[in-house]
Formats: sequence, C-alpha cells, structure tokens
Amino acid sequence: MANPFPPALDYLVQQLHHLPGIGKRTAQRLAIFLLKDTDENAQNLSQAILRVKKEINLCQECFNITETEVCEICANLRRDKSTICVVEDIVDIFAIEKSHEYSGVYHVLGGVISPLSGVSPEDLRFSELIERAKKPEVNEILLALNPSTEGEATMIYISKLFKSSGKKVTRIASGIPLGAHLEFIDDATIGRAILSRREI
Amino acid sequence: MILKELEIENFRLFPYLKITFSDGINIISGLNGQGKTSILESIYYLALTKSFRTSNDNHVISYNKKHFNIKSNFVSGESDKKVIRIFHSSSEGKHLFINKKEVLKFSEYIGTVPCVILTLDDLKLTLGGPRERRRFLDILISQISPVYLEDLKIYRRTLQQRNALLGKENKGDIKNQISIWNEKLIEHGSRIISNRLDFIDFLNIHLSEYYNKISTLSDKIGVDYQSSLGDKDYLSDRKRIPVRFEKKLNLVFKYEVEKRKTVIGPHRDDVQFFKEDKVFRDFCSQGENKTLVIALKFLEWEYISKERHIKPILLLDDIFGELDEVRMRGLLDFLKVIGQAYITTTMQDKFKTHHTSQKFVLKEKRLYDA
Repeated sequence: MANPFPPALDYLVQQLHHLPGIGKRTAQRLAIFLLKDTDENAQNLSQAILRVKKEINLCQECFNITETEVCEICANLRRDKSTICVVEDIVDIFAIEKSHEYSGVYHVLGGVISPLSGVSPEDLRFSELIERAKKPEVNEILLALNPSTEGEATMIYISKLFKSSGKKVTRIASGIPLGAHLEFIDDATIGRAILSRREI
Repeated sequence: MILKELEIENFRLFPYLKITFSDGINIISGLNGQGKTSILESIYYLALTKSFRTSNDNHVISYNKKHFNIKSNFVSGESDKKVIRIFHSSSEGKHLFINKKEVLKFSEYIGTVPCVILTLDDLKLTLGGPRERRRFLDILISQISPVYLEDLKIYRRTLQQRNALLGKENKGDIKNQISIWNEKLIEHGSRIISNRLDFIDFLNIHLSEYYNKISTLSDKIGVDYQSSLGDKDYLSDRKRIPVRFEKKLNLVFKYEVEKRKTVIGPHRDDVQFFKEDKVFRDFCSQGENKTLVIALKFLEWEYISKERHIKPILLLDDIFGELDEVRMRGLLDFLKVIGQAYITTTMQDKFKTHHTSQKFVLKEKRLYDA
C-alpha cells in the first residue's frame, strides 16, 4: 500500500513514534495536529526541545538533571551527605522528594542489571558510586530500586560491592501500603510482608 | 465452591449459552463435536484464567467474533456470593472481574475458584515426561498459595536472566555476576521445592489407600520427589534446602558455563511413583496407570480442600469410555462425597444405575434437561 503521507510529514511521524509510549497511530495523530497548529506553537515546541538539550545536563555528582554543574540537591548544604540513596532513574528522585522524608543525597544508576536486555554492570554507574562512597563522610548507602527481579538482583550486587567497605547498606521496605486494609491486600503481598517482618 | 449459573458468549461453538447447574453432579452428554468439553473449558477458565486445550486465548473465541465473555455466579457456604467474569478479546487482552471489580494481578485471582480436572490427556501425567508432573504440582499448589505463584514467576524470570548471562559470548567476570542471580534462584527455588515436598508427603500418606479403593486390590504405592539437588537427607529438613542449593550451584558452576544454562533447581526436578518398591512406569499396565492417575486427581482434590477449606470443583472430561466396571464404580463412589462435579460423556446410559443430581443433553448448540 502506498504511503499517503508526504515525506516531510512521514519524517515527523517517525520522530514522534520514536518517543516512549507513542504508537504509530498516536504519532500520526500528533503529526497532523502539529501540521494544523499555528506556526508560533510549532516554533515554541521545537525551541523548547532544543533548549532542554542545550541547557540541561547531568549533575557531576549524582547524575540527576541540572542546569548547573552540580544539581540543586547536591549543592544544598543542608542535605545530609552521609547517606547516598541509589535509584534507577531520575524520575525516582522526584517520587522520593515528594515524600519530604529523605534529606540525604542521591545516585542515579541509569538502569538495573539485566542480561536479557544486554545490560551488564559496566553499563551502569557503579564505579562512580564506589568513588563517591569512598569519601569518609559517607556512611550509608540506601537502596531504593524497584522490587522487580532485576531490581532485587541489582541490590544484591551493590550490597556485595560494599561488603568489606565498612559502609552500611540498607534498602527501603516493601509490603503493605499506608492506609490500606489488610483485608483488601492481595495474599501474595501479605505473604511477602510476613516473610520480611521486623522487630519493633 | 458451587457454580450456580454459567453464561458464555462467543465461546467456541456457542454464540450464547446460559445454564443453571445443580449443586451435586452435573452430567453433560451428547454426540462428539457438540461442545461438551467447551463447557468444562469455560469453567476451567474461571478457575485458572486459561484453557486446558490451548495456550492461545484467541483460539477459544468463536469464529469471526472479536471477543468472548464468561460470566458466572458462585456461592460458597451460606452467604458468600461471587459474580466472576472473564472477558477476552484479541485487541484488548484478558480481563478478570470479581463482583464487578477488575482484578489486575493473577496471583490475586488464582485460587478464588479452586478446580481439579481429569481428562484423557492426564494419563500422560505418570507415563509422560517430567514437565507434565512439574506442571501438575505447580497448578495444584498455585491454587493453594498465592506466594507460590509469585515464587514461580520470580524464579522463572531469574532463570531467564541467569541463562542469558551463562549464554553470553564474552563471559567477563561471570563468577561475580552469577552470584547475584544465585541468591534469587535459591530464595524462590527453595520455597518452591519445600511446598512441593509438603504435597509429596501428603501423597505418601494417602496414595496406597486411594489407589486400592479404586482398584479393589491391596498394593503399596509410593511416591518420591527426585530433586536435581541430589541427596535425599536434606529433604526432611526444609531449612537445609537453601544451603544444599547453594553448595550444589557452586559444584556445577563450571559445567553450567560450558552448557550455557542452569542445570539444577526445581525446573529440573521430577516425581517418581513406585509399586511395591518397583518403578511404576516401567511395570504398570494401562489399567493400573488409569487407577494411579484417578487416585492422584482425587488426592489433589483432597489436598486443596484440606488446605483451603473450600471444596474444589471437579471436572471429568470424557474419561468413562476408558474405564472398566471396577474403576468406574470406584470413581463413582468418590463422587458421592465430592461436592460439585461436572462430567462429560457420550454414553449417558452408563449413569443409569447411579443416583445423580442433574443430567443435560447437548444438541445443536443448546442444552436440554435429560
């Protein structure tokens, strides 16, 4: 079947389709919307994309996004530099920051170990983490990776890395969500929560 | 669990069918190709969210239709009522609903309607390969313990990752990296083995009794869990399984690197049956094999009902043609105590002597009271 889209439009569809969560159909709809939209809006959008690429880079310390060399969190003198919270991705920092419960600093790993998807430890920011943790003021590595099979395995990997370092390695708890009724929690979650119970 | 009412739409041969069942034994008779097994299949879907005849849900949708729908009313005890619905379309996938609320996790759903099925295919259970026997254990225990189903899921994922690592061309520091997957493999694998052993212990206590009830003989039937972890002595103490697992993984490490896959663990285990201390499959007759499979299925039913305090629904698909008078009588004796059962058969007259609750005849996509 002949492609009904002129090459320029088709190129835009291809570029949009490349974005995560955007299927072919949605990409076509967005492309046609942009085509009909005002020139000014199109200018703004393309400028905005170029601007983030130019002005935003990764923090030299923790690999969070920042407009300066070091991100706001790392530069903040009131943050507790003795604890480094290890996360998979930048979005996880936003999630933890929203809770206002954490006052330490972060380290963005850039993914989790997964031989199936071809991600080995060398592809992630472990050596940078080890370097950072060498500083004497650091005494705790808090692991906040998703409790997927790969996340769990990556946490085991990190705990082994720091085994003889004298640094404390902890992980965030998983189990019953706050405000939930035990009665309505699925049995697997309750079962796992019981298996990993702790003394109070 | 009692299935009161079943409504199916675009399911196999049936554009629409609504049936009210009896609390006891339901016998569905009819000629071949009328869709008797499809009715059992739809009940099996309600229990395990899949078919026992195909692994492709799209094959179950009626020809030229886009979706199927199974709706059901269950009661358990005096007051507990459940409306369960399964919807599947090739474009939207499968959706499960309990009392009109969608259930998103399978481990949260499985076990709601426990079920035991016996088909002619199950005769492979004892004579076929180890995969069939592991599947039998896994389906059974998943209906009892949602944690077991989660353990299986994580174990399989870990196995895939571990095998991908072992399969890599450039091994690098594989020893270091394999150890992180070992930990998960041991944690979940040990629990899987331990749960399976609990059921094997239960079988060993009751298997001879059930076998002899059906055969009317007095043989000694035993069963043994044959673990790829070797040595049997660790089996009695469940706490030692992880230690043993780890030791064994270290022992086979070089071999695994060479073979490029994980060679030990519950995914390689098997179950062996014995008659008077001789390996059953090597000596048994066809009839003895049928007796053993029937005994196993009834013990599956007993085990689930003991552990869950819910009587599973029993599905018997067209097995009576394969049984002689003695085994048939043994089977019918069990049915008296079993709660709700569904039986398909081409030979309705075989049941004339037996008191049954409800008989249906299937003819031209409609169900009639017989």
